[in-house]
Amino acid sequence: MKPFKVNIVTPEKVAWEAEAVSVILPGSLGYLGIWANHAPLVSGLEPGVVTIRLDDAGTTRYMACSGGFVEVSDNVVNVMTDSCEEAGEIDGDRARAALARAKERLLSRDVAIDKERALLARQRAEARLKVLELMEK
Amino acid sequence: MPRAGVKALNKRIRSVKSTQQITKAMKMVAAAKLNRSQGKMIAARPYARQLARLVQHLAGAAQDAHPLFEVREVARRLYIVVASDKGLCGSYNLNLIKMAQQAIDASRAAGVETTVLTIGKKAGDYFAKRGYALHGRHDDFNGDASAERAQQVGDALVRAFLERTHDEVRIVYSEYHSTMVQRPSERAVLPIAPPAAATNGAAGSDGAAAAEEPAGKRMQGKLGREDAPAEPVADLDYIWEPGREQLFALLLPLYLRNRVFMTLMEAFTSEHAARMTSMTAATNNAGELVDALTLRRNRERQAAITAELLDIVGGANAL
Repeated sequence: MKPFKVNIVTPEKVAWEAEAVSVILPGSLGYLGIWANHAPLVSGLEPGVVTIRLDDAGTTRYMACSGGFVEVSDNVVNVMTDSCEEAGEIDGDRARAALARAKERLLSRDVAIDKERALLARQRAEARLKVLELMEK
Repeated sequence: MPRAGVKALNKRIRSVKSTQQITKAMKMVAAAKLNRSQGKMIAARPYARQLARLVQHLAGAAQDAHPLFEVREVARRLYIVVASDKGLCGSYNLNLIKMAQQAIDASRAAGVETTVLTIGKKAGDYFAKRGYALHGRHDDFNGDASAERAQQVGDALVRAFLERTHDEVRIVYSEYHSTMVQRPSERAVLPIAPPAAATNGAAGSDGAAAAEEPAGKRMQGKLGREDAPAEPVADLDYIWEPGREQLFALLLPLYLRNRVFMTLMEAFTSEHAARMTSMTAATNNAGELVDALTLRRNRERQAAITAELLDIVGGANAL
């Protein structure tokens, strides 16, 4: 397949800037796969796993990203997200601890707890763990 | 008598030297902070640029105005002043605060109820002491712009604007041009400039940053030109997920937060640069002073020795 440009930027750094043949993103309406010549699209992103396929041989990179936006136009994919990490940057223990904490918060009956934030935290932690799991395979 | 002079001079030299050590240390600290802050600022630019571009696209396509775009008749205006927490940074605070005060006074003279939100202890102290109505003050940022703080400030602004406690928000901060040059400048934050002007506003938000980095700006300019012919058509064809309005509702607060973040970052980078420059100057001045004093001390010591010798020689001749 024809490669196209993928940029992933976060407020801290440019997390990814290279060509790819396909990319799968956690859109706000579900995961969406993008190949070359995709129609112009703007979508929100949820915390989840970004899968980037580098070539037709199937070399694949996984990244855990938190929510943000993606803009696709003219064979350029621009992803704007708060954070985006590859397996090497992820601290598994920390992610597990965050997941446990988020679950606990979601189950608690305390009204002072921001459930939405806890949900996002759970999604982020799950995404990170998923990336680690995928890389081990 | 001359002996006492030498002693006093020695004492002064020592004191100047120890002051010089302090200013030198402060210079090093400021340089390190400047480096870090500058690196962070540059790293954050691509994100800010993308975000601004996306807002532009969305704003161009969405005719229905978002409440954050709404231009109202200004009855209550909020000024944000970003200064430093600590002194010893030359005329950084002075110029900035002077400019802010002029703007605020002008706004008050025009019959607009004007309040001030200060970031940095120096600005807070200044305006509190002179009886300006403070909307709030942040004295704990300590020259470090974090995303959380920007969010805290940005969200408060959005709330104030939507709840109509303020009709306009402007910010006075120091633009970072280079290590030697920082200029106080004033900019509107809310309402977000409407689509046509959004290009300027957006370019301004990181454009100020780009101004100091001509390569970046040129690239941005080129990007804009290349995109220009395709944009109007592409705008119409975009698929929006979930919907355009929901996206807008998510994107605009994020955009505002990011602008606040970039502004804070720039202001703090300026602060570190100003401090480094002034501490370098102070260290050099101390060095000059030490040289001058040492010369004088040596001269006096020599004079004392000569006088003593003359005494002895005179005494010997008398015998």
